[in-house]
Amino acid sequence: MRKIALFLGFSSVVFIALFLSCDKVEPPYMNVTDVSDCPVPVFPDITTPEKTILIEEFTGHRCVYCPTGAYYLHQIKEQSYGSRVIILAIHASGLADPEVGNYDLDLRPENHGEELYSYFVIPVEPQAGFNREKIDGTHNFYGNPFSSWQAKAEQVLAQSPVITLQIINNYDSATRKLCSHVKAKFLSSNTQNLKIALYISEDSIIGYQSNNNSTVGTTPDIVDYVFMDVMRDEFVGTFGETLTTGGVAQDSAVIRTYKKILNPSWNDKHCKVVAYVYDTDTDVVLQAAEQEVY
Amino acid sequence: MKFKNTRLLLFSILFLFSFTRVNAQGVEKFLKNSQISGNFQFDGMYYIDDSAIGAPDVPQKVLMNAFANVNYTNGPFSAGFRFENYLYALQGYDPRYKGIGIPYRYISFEKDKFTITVGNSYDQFGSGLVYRAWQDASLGFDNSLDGVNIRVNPWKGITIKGVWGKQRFYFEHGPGVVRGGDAEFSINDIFSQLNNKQLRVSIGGSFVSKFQEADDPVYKLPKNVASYGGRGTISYKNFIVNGEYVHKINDPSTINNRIYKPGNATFIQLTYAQKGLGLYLAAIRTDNMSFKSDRDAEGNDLNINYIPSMAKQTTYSLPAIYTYGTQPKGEFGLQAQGIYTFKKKTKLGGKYGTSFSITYSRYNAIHKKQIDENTPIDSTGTLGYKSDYFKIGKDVYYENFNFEFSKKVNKVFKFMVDYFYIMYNSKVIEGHEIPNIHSHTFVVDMTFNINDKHSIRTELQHMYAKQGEGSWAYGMVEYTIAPKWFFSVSDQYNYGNSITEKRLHYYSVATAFAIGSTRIALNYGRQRAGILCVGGVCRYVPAANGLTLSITSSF
Repeated sequence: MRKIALFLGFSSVVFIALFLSCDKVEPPYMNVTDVSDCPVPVFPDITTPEKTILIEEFTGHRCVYCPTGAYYLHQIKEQSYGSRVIILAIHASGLADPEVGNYDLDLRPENHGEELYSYFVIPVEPQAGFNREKIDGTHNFYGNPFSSWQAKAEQVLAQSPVITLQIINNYDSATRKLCSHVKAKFLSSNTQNLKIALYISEDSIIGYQSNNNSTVGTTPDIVDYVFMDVMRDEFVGTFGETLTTGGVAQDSAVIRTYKKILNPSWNDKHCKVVAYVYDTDTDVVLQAAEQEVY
Repeated sequence: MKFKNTRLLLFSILFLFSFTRVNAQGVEKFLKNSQISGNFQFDGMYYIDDSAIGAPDVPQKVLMNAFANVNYTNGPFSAGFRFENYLYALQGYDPRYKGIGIPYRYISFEKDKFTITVGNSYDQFGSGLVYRAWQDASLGFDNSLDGVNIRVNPWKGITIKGVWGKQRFYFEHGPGVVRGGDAEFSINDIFSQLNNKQLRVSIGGSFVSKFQEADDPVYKLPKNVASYGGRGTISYKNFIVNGEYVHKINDPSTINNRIYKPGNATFIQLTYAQKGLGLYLAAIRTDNMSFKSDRDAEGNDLNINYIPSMAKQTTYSLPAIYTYGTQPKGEFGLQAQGIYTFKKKTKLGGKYGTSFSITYSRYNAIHKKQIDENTPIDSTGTLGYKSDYFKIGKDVYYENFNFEFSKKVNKVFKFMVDYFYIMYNSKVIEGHEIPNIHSHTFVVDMTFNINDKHSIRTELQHMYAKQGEGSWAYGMVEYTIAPKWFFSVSDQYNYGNSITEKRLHYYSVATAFAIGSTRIALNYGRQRAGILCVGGVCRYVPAANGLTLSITSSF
């Protein structure tokens, strides 16, 4: 009996020791990044503010209609509106899952794509959002007919800008440390609750893409498809961080600095920083900007 | 690494032998008590290009999985290992199973009420909600713990277990360390005056903690994450009720989108059994209970715990198309089952007996709501969501109603009739953006025993469904010449696919030959793409066409 008591006593000590092996984390759950090694630069003045548009495109390498969708989006950017159009290709859903064999490329931005995909209840891919505006009064995102996307983009771009957004990147290729400075300047007083979100995107990734349109590539597979504007990762969470909560005077400005070490598997020469400001009550993007890392 | 494991095993055995006094009698006794057992399995497949069914290109053309278990026992001492060979792994198995090695080896001995195992071990605490180390070759799943496993029975009715080690991760180890303990007390066995009571009670408790380094610049990550729980079983006459509740502290991971909400799970089972009648009722609610030794692991990798499945498993091909895989982020499931066997020599029971069973199982989402109006559900770096424990989520993940009737008519003929209604939420279970699938499947399974050696078995199945891949038909004939030969021909026909080009036949021709405990099987045919699940744990199986050779043997 004494042996048993000793044993139970010993077991209890072990259990208590294990029980203490718990690290309960108290909020806030995310670290505030130390950006003291990222000196803030001087932003040049913008003399002629222009409305910009963020086009978020939900896509996947197994999505047969996606090359056609991407083709139409790049028509808008390259042939019509240039730098006023910022595209983020969000690889999400089962159609973006890597597979054994030719489709082993993983372009999913960790969980951030799935979060956005679920949040906006994307029914099918491809779907594109134009500053997430409910252009038809109901939906934030739109699919086929892709030929209608340009008109939607033009409708958004015809609006007057309410803020300007600038990005200045300082990148150290040796350490892959990226300091991104973002300035948002209010062109009129503002009472909205606004958040700012920042993402890294990457161009010119080569891989297999399913396709059913022979005018944009080989079918059923494009073996050397060039993926552009691929959302890679965030700086401040999927939904960004608070920028303002109303009561902002005209001509006031907010400058934020962010820091990130670029993933070594990304080609930094093809990476960009995409920033956008949106209304947390409506999800509508007010302004977006992008800037190459290099 | 692999050579090191082998050397370690051989060295350990020699080390133990060096303490054995060697003389003729000793050698004779030693050899008399020695037992070696094991088994071998080889599965190889030659892949044929078949773009019609979407079979992926296989550059190696021929792939194989093989393993052999060897176990040695001598009284209280036992040791063993498993040799594994994937050159390269069959399609559908994780490609990280690559190469040759001995990822599983152990030495175990029993002494003074202790059973001590060093090396790899499999074990389970309670129903597995806190800890389960197990292996299933068909799933390509193995989360054995490499380290120390101690079990002690200090008193009749008391069992205490402790584990400490790292989990197997293909041919390596996972980055985390798992430590845990479990105690179970059988009250009736501990107190002699209660030994013969009809009311039997046992209680137990488990605690498991994992440690993983954390140096994430963005998230404040816990290095030590614990899960713990209590359980109890009460049986009285024909009734048995058991339940377990477990809790897990904040465990931000890839699976839960790096949220900090604690997890919990409740599992309750009620069983009633008497001759000819069995009733079973079970319910489970899990909330954020994925528990892995690597917070970045995905899929089935490095699971510490196991979530029991409420979905009825079937071996019939068509209803097995829509098999439920448990959802680690949260689910509410229940199962109710009744089995009744009519007495023999009654009107319904007939000369040989008749039985039927009804099973209903269902899974819903758990209730979730935003933690505040500005934070969407499951946002990273937050508590994720709030959940009312007693509310059930609106989304139905899975529903299965099954009726089964079986009867042996005479010495020659017996049959079984099954009906399955299955509602399958493909978006949740497989991530496919298609509407929920509602399928109705009938199965007729007949066996004709021509004589003691020759028998024919047929399966006729039909699935009606408007969604997904639509309706299917299946037919199969097996001819067995006992005890050595087996032949079968089957075809699955997806005649109701809404895409005409996908109305395909998945035919198969197979034969097998058995010599003692060795069986050699050859199969030629097509395999449809889908998921294979065992106990709610699933793996994706891609479409394939080709010739499969399987060899199994044991000694």
